Amino acid sequence: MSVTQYMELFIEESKEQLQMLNQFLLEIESDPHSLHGINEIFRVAHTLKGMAGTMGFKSITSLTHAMENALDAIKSQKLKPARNVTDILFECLDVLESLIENVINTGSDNGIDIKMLISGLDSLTGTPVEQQSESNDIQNQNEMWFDIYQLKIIEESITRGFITYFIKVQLDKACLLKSARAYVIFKTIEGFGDIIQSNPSVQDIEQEKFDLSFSTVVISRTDKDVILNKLYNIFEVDNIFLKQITKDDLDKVKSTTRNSEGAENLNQSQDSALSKSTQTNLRLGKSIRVDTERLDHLMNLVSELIIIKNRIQGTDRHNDNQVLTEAVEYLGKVTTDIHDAVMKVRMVQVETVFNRFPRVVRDLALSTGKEVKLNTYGAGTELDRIIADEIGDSLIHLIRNAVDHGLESTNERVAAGKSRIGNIDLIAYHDGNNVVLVVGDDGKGIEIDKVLKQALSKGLVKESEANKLSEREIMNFLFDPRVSTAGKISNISGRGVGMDAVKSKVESLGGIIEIETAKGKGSKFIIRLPLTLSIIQALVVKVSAEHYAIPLNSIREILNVKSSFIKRLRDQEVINYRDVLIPLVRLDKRLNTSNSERDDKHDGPITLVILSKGERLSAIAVDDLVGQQEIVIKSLGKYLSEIKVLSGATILGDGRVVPILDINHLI
Amino acid sequence: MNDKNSTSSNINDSQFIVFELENERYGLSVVKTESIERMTQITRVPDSSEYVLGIINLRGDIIPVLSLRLKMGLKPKEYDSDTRIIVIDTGIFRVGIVVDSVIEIINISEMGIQSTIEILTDRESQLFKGVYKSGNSVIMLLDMDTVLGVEDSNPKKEIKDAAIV
Repeated sequence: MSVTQYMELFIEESKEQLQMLNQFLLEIESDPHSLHGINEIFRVAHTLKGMAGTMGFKSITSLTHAMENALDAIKSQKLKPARNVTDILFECLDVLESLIENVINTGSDNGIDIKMLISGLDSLTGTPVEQQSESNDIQNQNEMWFDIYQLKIIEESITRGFITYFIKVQLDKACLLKSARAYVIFKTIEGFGDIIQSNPSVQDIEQEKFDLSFSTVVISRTDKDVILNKLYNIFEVDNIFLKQITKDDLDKVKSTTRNSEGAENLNQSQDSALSKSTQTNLRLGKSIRVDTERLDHLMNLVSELIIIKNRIQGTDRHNDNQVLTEAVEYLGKVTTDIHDAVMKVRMVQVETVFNRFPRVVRDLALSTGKEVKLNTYGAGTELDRIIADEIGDSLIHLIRNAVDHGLESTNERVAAGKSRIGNIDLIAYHDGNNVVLVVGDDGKGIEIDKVLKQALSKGLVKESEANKLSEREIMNFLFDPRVSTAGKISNISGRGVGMDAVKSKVESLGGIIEIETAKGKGSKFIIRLPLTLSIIQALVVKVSAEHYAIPLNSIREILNVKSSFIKRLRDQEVINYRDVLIPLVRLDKRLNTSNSERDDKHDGPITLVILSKGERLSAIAVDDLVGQQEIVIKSLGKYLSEIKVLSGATILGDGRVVPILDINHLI
Repeated sequence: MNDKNSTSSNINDSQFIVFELENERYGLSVVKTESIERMTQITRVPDSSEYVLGIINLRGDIIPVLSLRLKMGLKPKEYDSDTRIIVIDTGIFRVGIVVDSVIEIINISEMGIQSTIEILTDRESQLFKGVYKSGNSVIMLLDMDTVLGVEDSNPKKEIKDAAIV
């Protein structure tokens, strides 16, 4: 495994950690006494430090280290998580994000000055916490300590008349080759007897992993003065502390050993409790990382499987072999289940998108000086990973608009008799084969008259036609870049900036966006997205001699009507559908199919498919219904990307190619 | 029928598929040619250009198919047992072109290619890399990227093409 292989893992995981950091920072900001939040932030900073350290990213390591110190101070209640503290931690988060961005782009975390931030963190904590703990460590090391095995040896040696010495040697500060010098000293001591303990370990001493002093325990028959004399004759030895270990000492050590053993037992039980809790955590979120490419490949294979299944089902119709029919039916069920299972694998909770919004709202609230509360509902709603990845920016845009232009200032709210705090609602839920995402605010709403006025001034609509426009049609002007860029009209200014981008993004994902608004009460931006992008249920219809597929989720109803049912409104054919006049599209004419089998004058029944796109309805006249089928959407390819009336094509079981109608361009 | 596996005997030679349209012979470099297919069922695509015949199912993939006759301003002709679809992968998209018949695959030496600039009008000559005389017949060597309107930003390709002409 090379470092580059770890790199992806590092980037993925550090992004996750930052997301968590963000979440918990918000938690302690709203509840400064949340010990849980502090602990989690500490853990995240620690994890990041470890990961960055392994990868050799020094800036990230030192920054997270400084964060750890500050967090440690908060944990030990030396430091209060006041505003200035959380602000600097948020700043750390931002810098960490850009550092990791640098890692993604350049492979290193250089280029960002973190000194200011680190000194800011250090000034919070006052004295660096780390040094204290280290000096403690050194003290511990200097204490005499034996394990049970060593104790037994010493006891036995004493009873046999041997003398046990504890020797601590301090080397001269000017000593250059400490390990070499230590080696000589070790050799000398070994000359007097058996060394049973060395602190630090012999290995560490060989690698110069010690300061200036080290201690040994040796069992010998030699007199203490002889030993001292010999050792002091070694060059560069500064000081020697030699102590004969007596039975009394042993008893003392024994009691502390027992204590420390007890402590160790305690530690062990804590450890096991800890490992138990981590085990349960693991079990809760047992997951593996899978490259999305592999998932896509799996999805393609499932698509092929469905095509073959359809083919077998097609040939099975002329078969009266009961066993085969049952087997094919079962195959159909299993294929559908596999498809569902693969789909589920590709699904992520919308929470992954929502997670970054609390921070966005916090920053927006600060910069606009408004008091804003973000309410999220249905964060557990699942949607296709690709859609989740793509829709985030559009949602941020809508949220920004809602806070910036939707919500009134605090004073205005109070004057209007509303609560001081403005609400931004972020809602996700499933609706049939769709995922619905709603960004709502309880602000002042959009003034339709002003939108219309602007549309008129930009020449988007003629004065004579303006009166006929429905509220919905007027709202649609908000998605027009020409309306948005003007941005002069006070309470809709900026509303439209980039709204056209939001709309085209939503449509490129096969979804639709709608606006609902009530003056003084607020606005809602409603996004409907398909659950999946590649396999859908569709109705195959016949138009003249051609077959077309219509996504089932856009079909409201199928009607058989007499041709007298169709009315005319000027040049437009309409039908009366549940007391609403809706436009009728004759598919044969719209698609220019030749050799129409149907005689227009014939008053036979006409098959109408009622389509819905959000709230908008439309009827299309087809010649015949072929049947409902699970189809795999395939792109028409780049060469035909200009064909808007089709969203793709599918291959039926018999190998026949059937175009899929794009409902957005038919209604 | 897969020509990707064919190897040229001489490095300076290029392999061309020779096909017929309206009794004239045309050549198409094998480099971007994926396969030669028999005529298959074509599904019409509404709202498309006249020369786009539709889409076909090529072993599970959807491929658009063009009529080279219509694209070159010739009259359409009934399909027969000789009709072939030459599948081309431009690197940006895959497309099939329908031709009257495929005659052979030949090696053409660069030396034998004559420029069309003196023979044809500017606009027409852009569609061709040159002409090649093979015995009694003349083969017009098509520049498929120009015919299909591929905007290839890869400068290497242009240098290579220039070398052939």
